[in-house]
Amino acid sequence: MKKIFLIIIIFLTGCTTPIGGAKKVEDIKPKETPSIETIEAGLWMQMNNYEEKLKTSGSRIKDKNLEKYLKNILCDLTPNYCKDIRVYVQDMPYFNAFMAPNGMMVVWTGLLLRAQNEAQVAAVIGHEAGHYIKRHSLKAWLDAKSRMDLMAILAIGLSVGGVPAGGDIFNLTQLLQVGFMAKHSRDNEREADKIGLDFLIKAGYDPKEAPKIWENIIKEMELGEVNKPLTFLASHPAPEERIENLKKQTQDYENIETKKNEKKLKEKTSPHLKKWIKDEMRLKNKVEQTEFVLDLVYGDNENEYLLKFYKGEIYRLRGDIENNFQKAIDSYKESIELKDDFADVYRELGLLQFKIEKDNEAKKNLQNYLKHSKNPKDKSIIESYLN
Amino acid sequence: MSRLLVFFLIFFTYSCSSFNTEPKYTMRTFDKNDPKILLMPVDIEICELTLAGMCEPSASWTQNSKNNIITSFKEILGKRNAVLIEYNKNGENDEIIQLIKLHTQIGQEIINNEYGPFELPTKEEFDWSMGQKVKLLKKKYKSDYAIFIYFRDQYSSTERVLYNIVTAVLFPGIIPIGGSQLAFASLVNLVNGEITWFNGYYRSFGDVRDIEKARKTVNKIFEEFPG
Repeated sequence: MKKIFLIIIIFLTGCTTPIGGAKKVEDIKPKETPSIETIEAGLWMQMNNYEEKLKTSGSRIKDKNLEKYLKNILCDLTPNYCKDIRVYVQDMPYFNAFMAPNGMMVVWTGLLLRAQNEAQVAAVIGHEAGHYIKRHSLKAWLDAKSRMDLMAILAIGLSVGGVPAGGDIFNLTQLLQVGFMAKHSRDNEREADKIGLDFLIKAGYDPKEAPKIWENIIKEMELGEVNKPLTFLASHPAPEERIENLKKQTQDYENIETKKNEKKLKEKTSPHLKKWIKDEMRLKNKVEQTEFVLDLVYGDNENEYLLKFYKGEIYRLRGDIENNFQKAIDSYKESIELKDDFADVYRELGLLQFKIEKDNEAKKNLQNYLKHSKNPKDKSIIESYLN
Repeated sequence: MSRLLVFFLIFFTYSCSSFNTEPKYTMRTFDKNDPKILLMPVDIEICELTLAGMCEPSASWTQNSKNNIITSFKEILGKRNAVLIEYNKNGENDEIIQLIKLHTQIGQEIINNEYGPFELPTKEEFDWSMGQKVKLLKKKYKSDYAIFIYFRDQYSSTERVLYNIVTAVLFPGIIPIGGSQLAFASLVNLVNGEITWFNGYYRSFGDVRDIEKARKTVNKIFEEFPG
């Protein structure tokens, strides 16, 4: 009986896609679409359906100006694939962007909030385009499939061979799987990093901005005391390793241009900043981490009053523990010293002072709020506090 | 040999473990003669189960099955006193796409609440609605009703079938997962958004890739369809 099963198992092994076969996948050509019988066409179909849903989703930032801006960056980086890739912005307060096999690129608001200039955004967009060109989604699928198949067969094979099924065997094969997949995924990330960097340099951006994104992420993780993923199991290369690689690669180029386009990015994101910052604060990360993100947004002198205002907000929203309210008030006052006609800060300061029963100061600040804001929607509520 | 017997028993039991809904409706016959019925785009995805059980989407099967479902539905409607209105992809807009998404959500809720484990304790009658926005479709297509169809199906690859046999024989306790089919359809009154007829099922047999079998499947879904 056992022999028969062993034969079947061997047969099954023959059915599976050979591991590493996925490596033979060629780059996708501009304007290329997969023919309908292929596995790739199936993946495209699924993502086309997803894209259709995303387009009308409430989580999509429907700012045509912003989307067009990102798309233009893409087209500058890689004119050949300009028509094949669509860029969407999704309302998610985390640092992330992803590329679907069908050409749908999604950038999360948390990434745009953290990007200090256009060159950094371009580095991410170029990297994601690299995934598309190298067909990394398809490769990842084929790899996952063959490894899952092998694992399933291995589990039977080992148990037929006398090792009990389930339990340890399952854990062992699964651990091997995860490790192998993660390695492939890291290789793909490295490949995309390289392509992204080439695009960045060709388009005249400062390539030194690419490693900077990762440096910022490391700093942020440290401040937030976020555990770094284990290198062996992480699907992305460790940020430190990434930075090293990116820095090494920029050394190979001479006369590198230094276009950053800081203002241009800020101009496009400014209509959304208020909301994005609010979302960031709602995550209730460590104060130091949120402050670091705010520094990235308003680190320039021009907007330091906003930085002070939002730092006050971080403390106020955390409630009256660890002297937070006093810290908030101090920060609000620093903001007013830098700019004395910004209405929002007077409002929050005044309302907070009411809360801690400093009514006289509170009234003064709320009056200032009404004085400096144009047609405030909460006018009657604020007035009720004043009487 | 007893193991083989166990396997067949498991396989047989598994094939039968599915929920099969009875059609729900608020009307048995159309409220007017020869009503116009708009066929909305079929929300469909078909995949192949790999050896290890991953669901690999298939574009060609999906395309075939979609055509088969549409053909079969048209045949059913042709036998009733109703006029089919074709959907125009070019005239699509965000609000219409939202309606298709909404139907998927409502359909799943109906299955959960009317047939499944989440029955609403105070909901006694079948009174579900897609809301007033469906009037958009009435205006655009001059149609009285719209039919929404949702379809998900999986078929085992040859490797999967072999693998299932091997595991079933070796480990009689483990029930291998074969393909399963989830489908539902709603007839929506475009005057008020009311879902006037609904049917759906979940089962582990049936095939829509082939026109003959698709006819049977679609006939099953459209049991007791008004008209």
